[in-house]
Amino acid sequence: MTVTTTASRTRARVAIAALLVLALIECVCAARAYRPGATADDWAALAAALDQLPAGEPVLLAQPWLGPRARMEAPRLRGWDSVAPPDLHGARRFHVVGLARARWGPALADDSMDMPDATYAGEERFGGLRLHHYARPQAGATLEDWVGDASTRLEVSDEQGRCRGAGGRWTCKQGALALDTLEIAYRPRRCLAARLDDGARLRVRLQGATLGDELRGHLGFADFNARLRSDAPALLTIAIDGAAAARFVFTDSQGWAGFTLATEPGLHDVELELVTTLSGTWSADRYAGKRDHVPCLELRALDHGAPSEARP
Amino acid sequence: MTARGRDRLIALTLALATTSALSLTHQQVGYVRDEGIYFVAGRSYAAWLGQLARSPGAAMTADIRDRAFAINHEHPALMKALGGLSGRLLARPTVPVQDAAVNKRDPPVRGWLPRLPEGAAMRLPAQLLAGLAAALLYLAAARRTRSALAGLLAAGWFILLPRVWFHAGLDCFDVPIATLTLAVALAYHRALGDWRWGLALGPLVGLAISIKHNALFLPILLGLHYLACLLLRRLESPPERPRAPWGRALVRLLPLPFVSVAALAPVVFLALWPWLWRDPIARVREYFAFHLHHSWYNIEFLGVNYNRPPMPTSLPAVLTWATIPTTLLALALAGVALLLARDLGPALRRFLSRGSPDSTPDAGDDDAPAPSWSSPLPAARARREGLLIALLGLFPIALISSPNVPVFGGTKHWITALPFLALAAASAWAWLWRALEPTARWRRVAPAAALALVLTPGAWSTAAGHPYNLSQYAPLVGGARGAAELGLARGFWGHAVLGLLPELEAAREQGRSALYLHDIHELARLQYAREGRWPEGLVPAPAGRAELGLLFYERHMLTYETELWRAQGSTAPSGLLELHDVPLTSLYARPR
Repeated sequence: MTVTTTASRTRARVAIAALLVLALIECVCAARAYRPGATADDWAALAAALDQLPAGEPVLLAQPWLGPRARMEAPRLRGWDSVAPPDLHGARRFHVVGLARARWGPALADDSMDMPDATYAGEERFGGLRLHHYARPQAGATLEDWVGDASTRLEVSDEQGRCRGAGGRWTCKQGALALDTLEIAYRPRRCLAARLDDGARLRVRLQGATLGDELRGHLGFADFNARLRSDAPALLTIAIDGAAAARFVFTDSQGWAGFTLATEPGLHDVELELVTTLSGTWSADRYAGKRDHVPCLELRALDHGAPSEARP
Repeated sequence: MTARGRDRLIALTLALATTSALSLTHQQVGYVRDEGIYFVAGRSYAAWLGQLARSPGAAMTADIRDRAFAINHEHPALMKALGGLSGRLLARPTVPVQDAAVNKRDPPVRGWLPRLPEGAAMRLPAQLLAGLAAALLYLAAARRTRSALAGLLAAGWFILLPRVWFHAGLDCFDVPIATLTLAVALAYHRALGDWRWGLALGPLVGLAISIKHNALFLPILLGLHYLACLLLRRLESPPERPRAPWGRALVRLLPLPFVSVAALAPVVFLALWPWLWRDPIARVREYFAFHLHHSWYNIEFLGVNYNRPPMPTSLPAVLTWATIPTTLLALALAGVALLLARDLGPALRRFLSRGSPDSTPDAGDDDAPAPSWSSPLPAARARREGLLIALLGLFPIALISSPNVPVFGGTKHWITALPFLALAAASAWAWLWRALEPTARWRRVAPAAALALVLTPGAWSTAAGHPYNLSQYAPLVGGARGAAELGLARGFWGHAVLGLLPELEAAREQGRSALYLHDIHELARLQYAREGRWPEGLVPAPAGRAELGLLFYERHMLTYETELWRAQGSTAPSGLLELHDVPLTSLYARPR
C-alpha cells in the first residue's frame, strides 16, 4: 500500500513538475511572441538603407505577410519588382528583408526554381529587421520584358483584326488584353491579362525583340473564385520569326506555370498566340460566359549562357 | 461559511466579473459581419415582442409575425430577441443614419435605462451567458473534485482562452451554445438520479436548440451515453436475477429524462421561434436544409486555401493546439484519459478477464435506491460523468474532422467541446494534487501558485491579443507571427476596423467620401453609424470607384487587394492595423 502511494506521489510530482515547466516555457514564448518585432524607427532606418541600393536589384520579403507594413514604410518595396515579381531569373543581385532571423522563405524558393542556390553576401541590421544581400550570377540578365518596357511596343490582334489601344491596355473585337497585377495562386503577379470570348484567339507580336539564350515566361489564371468555378485550359503558341517554336497547354491547377524556350541571341520577331477555350465560370445551375476565368501571361528574354531545350 | 456557500459566492463572483469584463472590453471589439444582421434581426424581434405586449391580437397576425421574424430566419430567434430586448432596455440613444429608408425600416432607439452603446447593450445577453459558463464550470469542477482551485482552473481554462474571450463578447451564438451544452450536460447528469431534473431536462434542451443547431446533436449524444452506462453496468456486475420483462426493459431504455426531451424540447423550440408557427414542418425542413447544404467559404490552413471538400482531417486538432496553450491542453488530455480509465476501466478489465471475481464493484451503488423510470441511474458512480465529459469534449472535434463538413468559422465550430475539456483538465488537476499529498505548509501556497502559473499563458495570450483575439495564437505557435509563418487563418469577420476610424475620419475631413468596405458587412457599418461612431458622410462604394479602401487580410483576399492597388494607384496602405507585426486590416487612400 505504501509502495503504491509512494509511486503515485512520485508520478504526480513528476507530472506537476512537467506541467509547471511547460507553463514556464509557454510564458517565455508568450513574452517573445506577444510584442512587436520591429519598431517605427527600425522601419525608417531600413527604408533609408533601401533607398541607397542600386536600381534594378529587386528587394523582396522573406515573409510575404510583412508586405503591407513594408510597402507603407519603404517606398523601395512598393514597385512591381518587389510586389509582384515573375520569379528571380534575371536578378544577378537581389536583397531580402526579413523580420528577426528570417532570411529566406518558400516564396523565394519557388521563384528560384531551375537555378542554383544564391550566394549569401551578408546582412545589415535595423533593430528587429534585417536586410540580407544575395548574389546569383547564373540568374542571367533580362534583355526584354513583355510586361516591362517592351509592353509599349506590343502589337495585339485577334481573329477579327488589330486591337485598339496602347500603354498596356488593348481593346479587341473578341475581348481585351491588359497589363495588370492579379492574384494568381495566391500571389500577386504582373502579367498580360486576356479577357476573351470563349474560344477566341489572341496574338501578341513584338517585332525586333532582343533575344538572349532563353525565353522564360509564366501563365496562370487569376482570382480564386474563378479558378474554383472553371478548369478550362488555355493554349499558348510561341512563334519566332514566323516559325512555331513551342506550344503549351495550361490549366489553373498548375498555378503560376513556368515555361522556357531556348532561343538564338539577336533581333527576332516573337509572336504569342493565346487561345482561351472557355472564359466563363459555372455556378450550381448554369454557365456564365462573363470572361471571369482570366489567363495572365508574362514573358522575358534572358541571357545567361548555354541554351536549354524547351520544357514546360 | 459552508463549502457550498463559498462555492456559490465564488461562482457568482466569477459570473459577474466575467460579464462585466466582457461588457467593458468588448466595446473595443468591432462588429463582426454576422452581428450586423443579428442586430437588425434583434431589433425587429424585440419590436414584435413590444407589439405583442401592447396589442397581442395584432402582433399574433401571421403576416405581421412573419414580417418581424423573416429576417435572418436561418437561425433560431432566441439570442437575437434577447439582444433586441437588451438594446431596448439599456441602449443609449442612437442617431439616424444617412439613408431615410433605413431609418424608416430600422428606426433609432433609446433604451429605458440608457447605459451602453446599442451594440454593447445587444451583446450583453451573450456576455451574461459567458458569465454563466464560468460559474457553471467552477461549480461543476469544484463539486466533482471537492477543490475550489480545480473549479477556478476549469473556469479560467475556458474563459481565459483568446478565441473563447473573443466569441464570448459578441452578439452571436457560439459561446451561448457552449454554455447551454454545458448546462444540458450537467442537468442530464442530475436527471439520471432525480426526477425533478429529469423534467427540467426537456425544456433545457429546447432552450439549447433555440440558440443554435449544434444542440440537435445533444439528445443523440446523451442517448449514447445512457446506453453506454447501462452496458457498462451490466459488464461490471452482471445481474444475478433473471432478466426483467420486455416492458420493463423498454421503460428502462426510455426513462423520464429522454421522454422529457422528446416531449418538451420541441415544444420549447417551437414556442421560442415564432417564425415557425405559420408552417412548422415546412419551415423546420427549410431550416435543416439550410444547414445541411451550407455554402463552403474560404479558410487558410497551413498555407493552403480550402474552399471545397475534402477538408484536411487534421484541421480541428491542429487549430485546437495552435489556439490553446499546450499546458492547458495537456491537462485536458490527461483528464480525459483519467476519466475514461476510471469509467471504462473496471468494465473493460472485467470483460477482458471474462468476468473474474477480482473486478471491483461500485461502492456507491450499494447505498443507492433501485433504478426506476424517473430515476434510471440513481447511483452517482453508475452515471459515469467522466464518460459524459469525455464524449462531449471529443465529439465536436471529431465531427468537424470529417473531410465533408465545411469549416468556415475556424475554432468556433467546435467551441462547444471546450467547457468539457476544461472540466477534464480540472479532474486531472485535482487528481495530481491529491496524489501528491503536499505537506500542510505547501498545501497553503503551492497549488494556488501553480494554478496561477498554469493559467498565465492563456490569460497573457488573451490580454495581448485584445481586441483582435480572433487572430491570436498560442505562445508555442509564436502568436500571430508564428501563425502567419505557418500559414494559419488570420481572421474572417471584418471586425478589425475600430483602430482605423480616426484615419477614416481624417480622410473624410480631407474631402474623401467613397469607401470600399471589403469585408465589413453593410449592416455592421450602419450599426457604427447608428451609434455615431462612423465618420459622417463616408459612404460605401465599389473598389473601382472608391477614394478609400479597406482590406481585411486572408489568403484569398489578395484578389481584392490587387483591385485596390489598381483603383488607388498605389500598393502602399495609408493606415494599418496589426497584431504583433501581422497585418490584419489595411486602409488604402487614393493619392491626391
